Amino acid sequence: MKDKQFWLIFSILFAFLCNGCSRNGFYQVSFITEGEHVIHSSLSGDLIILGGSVTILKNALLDGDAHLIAGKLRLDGIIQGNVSALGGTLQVGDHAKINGVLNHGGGELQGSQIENAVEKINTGTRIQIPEVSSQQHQTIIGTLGRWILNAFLIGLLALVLNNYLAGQLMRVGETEIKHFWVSIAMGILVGVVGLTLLVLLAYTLVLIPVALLGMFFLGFSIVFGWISGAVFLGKMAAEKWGRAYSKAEVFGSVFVTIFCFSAIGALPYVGGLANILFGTIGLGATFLTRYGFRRFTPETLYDQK
Amino acid sequence: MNFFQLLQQRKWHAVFGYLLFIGMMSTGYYYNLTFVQLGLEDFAATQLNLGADVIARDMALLAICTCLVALGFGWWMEQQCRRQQFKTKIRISFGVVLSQALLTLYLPLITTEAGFMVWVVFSSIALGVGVPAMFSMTIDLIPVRDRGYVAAIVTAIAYFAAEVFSSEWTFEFFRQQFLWILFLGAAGIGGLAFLKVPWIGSLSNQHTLSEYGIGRFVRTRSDNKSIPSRIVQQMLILMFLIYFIDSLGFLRMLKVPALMHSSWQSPVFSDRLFIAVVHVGGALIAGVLYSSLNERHLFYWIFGMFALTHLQYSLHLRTYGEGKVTLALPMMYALTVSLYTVINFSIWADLSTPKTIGMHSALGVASSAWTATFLSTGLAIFWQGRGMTLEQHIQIVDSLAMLAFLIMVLFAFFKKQEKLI
Repeated sequence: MKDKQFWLIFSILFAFLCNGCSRNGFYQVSFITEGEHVIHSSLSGDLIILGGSVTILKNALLDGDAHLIAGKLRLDGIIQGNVSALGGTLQVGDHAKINGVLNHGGGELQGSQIENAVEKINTGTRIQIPEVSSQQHQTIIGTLGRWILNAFLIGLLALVLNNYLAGQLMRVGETEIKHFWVSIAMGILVGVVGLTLLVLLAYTLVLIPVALLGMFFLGFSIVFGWISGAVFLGKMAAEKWGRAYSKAEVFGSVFVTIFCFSAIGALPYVGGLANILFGTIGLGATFLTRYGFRRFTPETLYDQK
Repeated sequence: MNFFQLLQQRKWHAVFGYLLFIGMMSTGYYYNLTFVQLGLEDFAATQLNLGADVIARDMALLAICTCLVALGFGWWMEQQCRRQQFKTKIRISFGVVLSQALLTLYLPLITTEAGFMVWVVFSSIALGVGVPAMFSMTIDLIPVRDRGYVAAIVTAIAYFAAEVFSSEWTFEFFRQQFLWILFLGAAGIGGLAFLKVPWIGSLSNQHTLSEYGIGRFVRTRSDNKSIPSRIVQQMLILMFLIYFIDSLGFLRMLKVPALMHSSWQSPVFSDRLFIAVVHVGGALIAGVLYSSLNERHLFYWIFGMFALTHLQYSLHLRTYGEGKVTLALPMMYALTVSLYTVINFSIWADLSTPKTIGMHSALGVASSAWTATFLSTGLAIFWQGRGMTLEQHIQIVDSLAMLAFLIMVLFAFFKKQEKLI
């Protein structure tokens, strides 16, 4: 219980600390989602408008960037930074001044003096999307090389993880193999809910870094699951053949598994589905065992005991 | 799964029990989802020209009567041992299905509001008796180990059918659909109830077997008493909250054509098929997880997902107004609804013994689900009447879901964990 109290108090203090950063001018943002707001004198930090309306009166100052996603921004004062309009309505008054750049990607621009208010306007309708070479154009040797490189790098990662978290890898792997359906069910749930949550976080713009971190976390969980499954299967095979499970075997089992995943993934029609399946199993088992820090026992078995 | 063992052992009576239960429950729920919840409202609005407030009052009457009848009948079942016999339950079910079939047949003859209210009272009596009678068959027909999977199949069939086969949300469309199902069902159940079917005798004794009779969460002697134990009370509160949050949000969204026509009521078949498949997938996930995880974990997921779903809708309303939605939004909603429906179908039996199942299912389904739906309907209409915007409405629902989720997490945080093996 003391541990829990510590973590609870720590979380609250951490939240205060984060809040304190904004007070010290480290980073400040105003997030408008509804209602009518008027800036009379000055506002520090960035301004994000997702709904409602904001009016910056004559001589009033926004000391940061403004991002208009939806809603209305009436500008008759000064904006020190850039203005990005992705949606909604941007009304530029006669006394408006944008010291940065106006990025117009969507929404409506109103006002006859826009050119006088800002020096540079970027319109977002002609963004050149770089051409990405398609995988179909790759040669067989190139594709094989990519698979081998993938398998080699993940094999190396497996060696590092096995050095420090051998027990955890075993528990996750055991769950994947012994509780296959539960791992899939949990993996789908975590995947769908996790991705939805990350998209929502990214939608707020300010939380894009958190969303990216979350994506990395989800991706790492999947790879952790793959490695665990491969290590567990490798150990089972080694025991069956009466061999010691050395570092070379760990690397070998992960290398072969990841190479096989890549090869299966390249199959037409079923390859993509198979990769999603492998991903969900890994993700589900990783979450069920809390990254292998506890052993997963189905509740029905637990009830019977 | 026990089912495969039973198949291997050629215990056909037990296999028939599964099919009977799945057939009855999925049809009953499909009827409730479509004809009762959507068809009656359409009938009152289009055939009787009743206003929204009058319809809300009549639907409230249906909810209250069903709740009271179910509680009364559940209590009566608990007191009378004879009522707990499988044969009696089958006979009661026959009466319920036949009554619903006749009521559905004669609904178009109603031309006045008074007549509609009388119809609603009769229908609520049938529904109220049907809830404890049919739910209590779980302990006769489905072994404890398979309850999650069976609930998943029931949920999947009901939602799939409701989404794919309900292109029009009109009472006449549903009536045409259900008339032959109900009459055929009544004939089938009638045969089982009154003819000498050898399997019925074997099924009647199944609740005495250890795999069937005592629910998974029955752990103390107080769980066999008439007064609901602590865990039953907790589940009642949680299920009430879930139903309340769901219907409070959905009832208001139902009134926004753009939201509905781009999701549940989409004229594009593939959209509805997608939602139906998500319902099926969600139900199967819930079935597997219900059988493997602690019941609390599923409640965390449900409240968390409801909060996330309503947050999605809230953001959509703020940025695009009441316009079309992408399928990602109903997808999350459908997934969440499937999760909790599976729990609702299995948990009351798993909290009960053969003695308490009638009362527990009446309390659970009628009291927490119907009462929550009734209260949320009333509140939704009241807020709409006071001019609350859809955006504000959804925001409140989202806050409620988030609050419930946080309270559950907080309780879990301070709860003494049982050490896992």
